[in-house]
Amino acid sequence: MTRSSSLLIVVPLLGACLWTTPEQAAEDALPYDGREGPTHMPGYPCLACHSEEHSPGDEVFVLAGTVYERAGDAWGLQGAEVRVTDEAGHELSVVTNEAGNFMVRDGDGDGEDDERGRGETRIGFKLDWPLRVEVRHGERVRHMRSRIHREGSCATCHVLGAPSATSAGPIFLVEDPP
Amino acid sequence: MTMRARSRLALVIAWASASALAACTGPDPGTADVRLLDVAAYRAHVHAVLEPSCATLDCHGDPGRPLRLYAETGLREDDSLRSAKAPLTDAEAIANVESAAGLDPEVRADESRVLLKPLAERAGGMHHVGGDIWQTRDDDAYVCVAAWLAGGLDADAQAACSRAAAAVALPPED
Repeated sequence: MTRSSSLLIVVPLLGACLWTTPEQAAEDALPYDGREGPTHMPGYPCLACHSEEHSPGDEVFVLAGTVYERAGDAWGLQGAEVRVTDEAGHELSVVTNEAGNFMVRDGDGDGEDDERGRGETRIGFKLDWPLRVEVRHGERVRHMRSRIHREGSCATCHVLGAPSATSAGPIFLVEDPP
Repeated sequence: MTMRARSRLALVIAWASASALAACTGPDPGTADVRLLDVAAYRAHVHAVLEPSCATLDCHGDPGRPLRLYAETGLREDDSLRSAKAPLTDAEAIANVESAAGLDPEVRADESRVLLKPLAERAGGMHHVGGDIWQTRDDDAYVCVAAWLAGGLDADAQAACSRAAAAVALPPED
């Protein structure tokens, strides 16, 4: 192999290592669904594209996810309330949109869902981790047993599909009998 | 206990035995070799302290992180354990102990990052991406884990473990 042909192989490989960040790789791994706005990509880790470190989608969230009525549902549950309490006792509430998505962002807000229907709330305080979470819809309530210590994308741990060794499965309200 | 669990337990026992034979003098309190860790004591007293505070899927339940920990509500060794909502298995408990022992195998117990990372820096701890979990060395959780690492979970330390576990206890399943 000549020196020039070696360079043809090595330089692109080196470039791929130098110019693909972990954040970009996480974004590239997502199957874009072609939609825009707050109903797109339900069930996928929102902060892969909407975090302070990496935000090609412009919108930056501190916490975001998708709620389903049942674990195997293809579409999320609209109107579910996600209540979050942080370590300092701050409380916030956000109601899921038509895709089941919800998102929380820093800003001038009081932690109440101020854009009802869009699935978004703004908080006027810095979240003090860990977080305790419960989800409500009508009379149904589910409490998340463990606390969230650092991950703002619910779907990082609540991966679509069946629960597994590394995933608790999607966030859902109704558990079907085995 | 599965064959895999038995072989891991045998490995831990062999390691512990070799270390004990190699020692010329008995360990001082707080300076015991962290490889001499007690799996039964971990299960009985320490796991309930570490699971809620450390072993969530977004922290040390991530298999890529140092001090990888298995837990009922976190990382499982097998998919079926999650769907069965099975309690921590022997193999998982042994793997957790190996993980703690392997983090800093050459240091004294009181220098292990298992203790220093969750301890606040102002109390002599180390920077921890997951934040300050224990504020002082008097924190019950610190006392519990320090005693376990040093190989001496006496009655006082066990009481500290119980208080620490109660303070971070997980709510019951809905």
